[in-house]
Parts: sequence; structure tokens; C-alpha cells
Amino acid sequence: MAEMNLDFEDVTFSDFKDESQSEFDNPLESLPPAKKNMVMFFVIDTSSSMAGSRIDTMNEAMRNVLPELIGVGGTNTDLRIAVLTFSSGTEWITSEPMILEEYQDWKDLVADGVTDLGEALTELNEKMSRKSFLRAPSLSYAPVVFLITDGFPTDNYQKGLELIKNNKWFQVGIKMALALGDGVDMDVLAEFTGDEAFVVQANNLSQMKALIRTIAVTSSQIGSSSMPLVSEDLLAPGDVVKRGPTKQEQMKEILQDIRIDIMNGAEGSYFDVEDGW
Amino acid sequence: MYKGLCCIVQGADHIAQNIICQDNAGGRYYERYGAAVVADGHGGTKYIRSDIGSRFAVESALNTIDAFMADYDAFTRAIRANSSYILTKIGEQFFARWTDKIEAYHREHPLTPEETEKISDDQSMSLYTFYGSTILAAVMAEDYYYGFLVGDGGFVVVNEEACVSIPIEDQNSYANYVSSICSRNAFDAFASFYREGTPLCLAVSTDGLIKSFGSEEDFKNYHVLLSASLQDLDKCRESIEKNFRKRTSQGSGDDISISLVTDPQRLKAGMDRINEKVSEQLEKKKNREQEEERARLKAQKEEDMRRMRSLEGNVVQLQRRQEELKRQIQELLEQMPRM
Repeated sequence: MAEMNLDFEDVTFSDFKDESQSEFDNPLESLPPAKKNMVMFFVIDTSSSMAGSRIDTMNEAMRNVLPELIGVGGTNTDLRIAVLTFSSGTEWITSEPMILEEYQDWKDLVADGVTDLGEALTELNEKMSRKSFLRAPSLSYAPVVFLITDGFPTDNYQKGLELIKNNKWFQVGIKMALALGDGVDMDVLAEFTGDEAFVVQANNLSQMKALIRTIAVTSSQIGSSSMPLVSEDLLAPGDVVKRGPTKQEQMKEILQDIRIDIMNGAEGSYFDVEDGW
Repeated sequence: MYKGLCCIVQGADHIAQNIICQDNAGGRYYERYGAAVVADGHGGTKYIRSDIGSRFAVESALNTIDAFMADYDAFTRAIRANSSYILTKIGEQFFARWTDKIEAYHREHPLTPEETEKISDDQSMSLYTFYGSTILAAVMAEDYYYGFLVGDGGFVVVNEEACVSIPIEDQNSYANYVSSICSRNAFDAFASFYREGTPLCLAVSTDGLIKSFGSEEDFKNYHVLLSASLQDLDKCRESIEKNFRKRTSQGSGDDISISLVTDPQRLKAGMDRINEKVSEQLEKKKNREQEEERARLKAQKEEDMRRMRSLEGNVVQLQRRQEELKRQIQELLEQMPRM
């Protein structure tokens, strides 16, 4: 048996001193550090064509994915959720980006009206700013924007699209679009994401459910990750230096895998009549 | 005599990734003015010498300020007469000094093979890119103050009433993008201001600090608390360092630096007002916590009610099922041949 060292001569009082200080010892402790945070925007089509099984599946998928997102950013990151719906006009379901853990009670969306995508993008542009939804100083990551729609825009979407594409936060964020069925204007979605590789089409309800879940979880993981910093040379504007990596590129590769897994896998067969549109 | 303090803490993420601290801070304190400066070297593989770039940025800013203010009275007359012109000249000289230092250093210390390997994919980079950094500089004088910046971070003024304001900020910062002194048209991102007045304290900090706060209000309140402890600079520095270590490990993960300048006499005169502000803050915080607790209890109660209603619904369903089973049993009994 090893001998226990009972020699305390080298141990001083300071060895037992608690390094942490309370706000009574150090007033600066009264303002605790905020975690890094990232906002994930869901932009959801609730036009009348979504009525029935699509909106039901959407509600189910969202209800299921919210608890799954908890913890994806690790212990040092708060993920916040902002939900914008659009039909005949727009509505923010969340009055501001909500901390995920406090936003677990999904209220079912109801489908009705037309597809005012342009208005939704205008609204998104307005809130995607330091003066609005992105005002928290602790906002460390570019946002994730996830558009879900099943139709053609019924308004003049070009104006909204132009606004959002000039939004700097949007430019550096991860953008994805999920098309539900084949009645969607895929070109518009490709314009929105900037690349058709970021547009995924769900052909039935189980694919829709699986894609919402997988894309939401994966994109938030990538979006909130502190990857080793890489950089590019000075960009075109010249006065701005890029500190972080292009996460959109990483998402692109993963979306290819997602397509293979979900579109061709067992989780959602195209010929599944019961799940069909 | 003006006084101040600097504190630099290596980021928790940087320690974890074995990345050198890229922040630098400095201050110079004289009879008629004091200056506080911080610089945040960019992270990233191409900014291979940004720790040196930020050190040179701090030195260049302090040297520029000293050069302009060597004749204090003449400078005071000049900046009062045309502040924007003087500030532009200060900016130009700062950039000239920084680029001179970078070029001299680079001549004496060419890139090592390891460094060259890191940046070999891109031949178009200028040498300044290797040393990319931000800069924030604050100057407190007898009855005026001014400052300038390129890039993100926090620039805070605590005025005579212990009210906190942010006079300038980088307009180009969003997500992971930030203005840099190494960019080709860095001067376009140069922001500056000049004000008459006798603030209690000026503070500049790198973005690791402001990013560890959930709101700008908390960030401002933090500086009131800092001002309250500035009378004992050594103790204050110790408190800041401990707090920064916590903020980087639990918050931004980034390097955090601050440089403060104050006039001890003004500070003493304004201490009552600072203490009032601190009391107001504590009261607000207490109220906010009480409100949050009430909201939490309300939400808990609602959740309990929802569960109760759900259980009640289950009981009703079970009762219906029981009735149904009873009815089925009764029917079966009735269908059975009489014994």
C-alpha cells in the first residue's frame, strides 16, 4: 500500500482560497456573461395550398424538432428561434428571437390566403438588422434562414428578394429552402438561397417531416459551431475583413448527403401512396 | 495627473486551440491629458502576425496622439477650431506610422517557410494582411475628449452624471466581418469624434468584452460598475482580470482587452453620482429578477394546469372506456344462453 503524504508544510492558506468571487466581493460579477448566440429564422408558407396534411405535417415536424435542437450549439451557445409566416401578408409568430429552451410550446399554424413571399422577404430584411432582431451584442454567429413553401409567389417578390439579398447578415448566413411538392417555383428558391444546391424538394409528407428535422438540426449545428478561423484576402468592398469560414459551403456538402439519405432512403419513398401529396 | 489601467486576457477558445493572444492594449497618462488604446489582431490563418500588427497599432496610435498633443495649447486651439480636419490628420498619421512599422518589421523578419506555407495559395495578399488588426483610441483632456477607431469593439464614455454613452462604433461589423486597418481602403472605415466636456472616464475594449453581454444596456452598466471601483486602480485591475477570465470562458471565448483613462479628481467629485447609479442598477436588477421569477412561476402554474387538464381528459376517456366495456360485457352477458 502506498504511503500517504501527510506533509502539509508546503500548503498555504491561499491553496484553499476559492478563486470564484461573488458580486459582494467583486461588483463586476453582478452582470454575468452572456453565452454566444445564433438566430435561426424559419420562414414558413401558410397559404391555403398548405391546408390539410401539409400544414398538419409542418406543425408536427416543428413540434418535434424544437426539443431536438436543444444543445446543438454546445453549452456555450444559445440558439434563438424566430418564426415568420406568410400568406396574405406576414406574421411574426415570435415577437423577437426566442431562446430555444423557452420556446418549446409550438402553436399550430393555420393555412389560409395567398403566397406573399415578397412581403415576407421585405419583413425579414427589416428584422435582420442590428437595430432589430440581431441587436444582442453576444450575437456571435451569422443567422440561419430556412424557407419552407409549396407554391409560386403571388406578389411582386423581386423587390423583397432584392432587399434581402443586399442585407449583409443574410449574405453571410446559411440560407436553405424546402420546396413542398412539384408546384413550387424552384428558380425563385434558387434566387433566394443564391444556389440551387441549397434548395431541397420534398415529394411526400414523410420526406417533408424528415427534411425539416434534418435541415434544421444540421444547419443550426453548423451555424453555431466555432470552427477554426480561416480567412480570405480582403474582399471586394476592401474595407471589410472576413474573420470566419463560409459555413454555407459546408452546408452544401451536407445537403448532398441529406438528399441521398432522405430522398433515396427508406425514410420517404416517392411511391409511398399513403404519404403522397 | 491622469491615470488609467490596461488589462489583457487571452480568450478561452484561443487557449483551447493553442492560438496566441492577438489583443494588445496600452495607455499613457500625463498632467494635461491621458490616452487609452486597444487593438484586436484578426484570427485566421492568413493573419499570421496579427498579434504583432495589434501591438504596432497600439504603439502607433499612442505615438500619433503624443506627437499631435506635444504642444497641448496649440493642439487644443486647433482641434477646437476644426475638429474633423485634425481628426482626419490624426488618422492619416496613425496609418502612416503603422504601415511604416509593419514594413520595417517585415524587412527585418521575412516570412518563415512555415508561415509562407500557410499563405502560399494566395499570392495577391498585401503584406499588411498578415498583420491585420482593429484599433480603438480614446483621449481625455482638460475640458474636451476625442477618439477614433477602425473595426469593432466598445468605445464608452462615462460622463459627469455617470451616464454611459457609446460615441462611435464600426458601421461595417456584422456576424464575423469587421473593418480592419490592413485593408486597402481602411481609411474609409476610420470613425472619429470630438466633444467638449469633462467625463469621469473613457474606456476602449476589444469586441470580446461587448460580445460577452446579452444587451447593450448591460454593457453600459458594466462600465458604471467599473467607474465605481476606479479609485483603487490596482484592485480594480485585479477585479477586471478575474471577471474577464470568467467572461471569456463562459461568454465570448475571445481575447478580451480594455484600456481606461480617468482624472482621479473628477472621479472623486463624481463618485456620489456613480454610487447612485450603481444603486439604481442594483434596484433595477432586483426588480427584473423578481419579475422573471414571477413569470417563471406563472408559466409553471400554467404548465401544471395544462397537465391537470390533460390528466382530467385522460380520466374522462378512461371513464368512457370503462362505460363502454361495461356495456359490452352487459351485451355479452345478455347474448349468452341462459344457464
